Amino acid sequence: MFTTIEAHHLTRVPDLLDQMFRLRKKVFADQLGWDVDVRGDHERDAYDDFRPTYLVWCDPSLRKLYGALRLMPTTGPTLLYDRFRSTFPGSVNLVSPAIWEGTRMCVDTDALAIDHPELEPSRAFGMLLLALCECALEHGIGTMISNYEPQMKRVYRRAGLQVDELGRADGYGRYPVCCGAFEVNHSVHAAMQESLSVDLPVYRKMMPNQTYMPLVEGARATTREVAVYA
Amino acid sequence: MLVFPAPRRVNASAMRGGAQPGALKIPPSCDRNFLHACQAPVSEFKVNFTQFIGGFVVDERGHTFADIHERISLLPTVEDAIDAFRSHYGVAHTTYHLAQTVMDRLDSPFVRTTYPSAWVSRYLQRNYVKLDPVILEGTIRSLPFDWSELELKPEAVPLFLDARCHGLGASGYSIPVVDKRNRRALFSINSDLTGESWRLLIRSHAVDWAELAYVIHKIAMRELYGLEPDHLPLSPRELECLTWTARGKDHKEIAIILGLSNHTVLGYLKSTRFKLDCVNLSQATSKAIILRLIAP
Repeated sequence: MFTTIEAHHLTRVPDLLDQMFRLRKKVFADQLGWDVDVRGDHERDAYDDFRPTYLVWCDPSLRKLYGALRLMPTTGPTLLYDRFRSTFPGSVNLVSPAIWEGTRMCVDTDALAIDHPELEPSRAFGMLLLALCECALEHGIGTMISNYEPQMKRVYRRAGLQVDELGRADGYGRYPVCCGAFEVNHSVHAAMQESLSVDLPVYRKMMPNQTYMPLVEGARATTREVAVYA
Repeated sequence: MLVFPAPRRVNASAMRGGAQPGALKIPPSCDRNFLHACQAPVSEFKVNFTQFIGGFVVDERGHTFADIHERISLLPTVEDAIDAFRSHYGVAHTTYHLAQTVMDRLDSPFVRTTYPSAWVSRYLQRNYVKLDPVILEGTIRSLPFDWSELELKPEAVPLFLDARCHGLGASGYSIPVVDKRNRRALFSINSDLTGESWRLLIRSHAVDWAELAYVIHKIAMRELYGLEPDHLPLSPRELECLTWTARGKDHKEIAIILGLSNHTVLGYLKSTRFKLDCVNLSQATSKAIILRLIAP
């Protein structure tokens, strides 16, 4: 399942987060050789301390992680704005409540090979992108900006996503790192679904076990009934 | 920093109540048998369903988003702004809550709300802030959320029932605000609508409301710190796009001139407009010329 984990969930899914930080170390520090903050087995930086939202791909029990990315609004402190501003100030300076930044996007190919052997890595990445598109649509986000290595552009295209490269910079890893933007709307979503041959929504919001339901019939609702509603 | 309220204003530790005496009928105090006293108040407000006319979203009174954006951004105080928002969209109540993060995330917040004063006092008396999931979750969430997504602990159930007894609407939607200095605020909308009509209202306004939440946040910064907030610097690409707009080019033409995609140009223009606090591009270009940012 694909869902979002917000700051108030963090203590409830410690395993998932631990796996995410380990995966990020494996992918960004060990494999891609990016100049990132490694703390023990984790890749974790100051932006994680700001308690961002994570879009995660995990099993339904929320125990096993397959992929993740970090979401931050461009109105607040963001990694791309802070780190890439000096490299290409012309482009990576977008600020709007409808423009969000997605960084540290990665999938765990080892975990997927065990649990979903039929899924090839580029399609797995595409599924995570589709979930990102749905999550953005759901929350009124019209543009996502992200950083990636040039070869990922093909993966984006195969997922039916048109990414506009805003700029690229050397010196972060072995390859240049690009910063790109993609549009989110219903036709982009339809194109992605078609490219990936998916016809049902993949993303769903994390709903609590017990929710506050509108107490329309407040006169009749009792504490117990409210709990049962959920 | 604790801001002392003017007499009519209400400012208190993390509350979701407010001072609009007489705005709604307040049911009698319903301490014990509050379940029986709970009657969903019939809203005197109607929803403004919008329609598209010539590419602009126009509500039933002929106002566009540009009108309400401009009107709110010119208001001097958050109290005026949240009230203007409420009457424009016909929602039951609105609240702006700045979580001041110096010591603790709930340390002496700045709150303005349109909730009835009886509810505000109740909220404070009962110290509901300790239970209120809108505040507990909302000040650390970052995506906008419907109150039906909140975790409702059993001990918080009486809070919601009590809120209904005090004339609060059944539904709610909150927009977290985060600025470049990492200040966090929460703008909340409370409504009597439920079900599909409530979802429709959110769906049709979510993008505009997110933008207005930031307009209100800027008013709060001005009210609290007495400073006209600095505009975020425009990037060279944004300035280029704006210059071509001032020369009469639309985004498709600019995309061809600069060799970018339409969507990228739209992204730069959206960001430019936000940074200059403008509702549309004509306003943004004239402001940029006045500020001597561009010389078309």
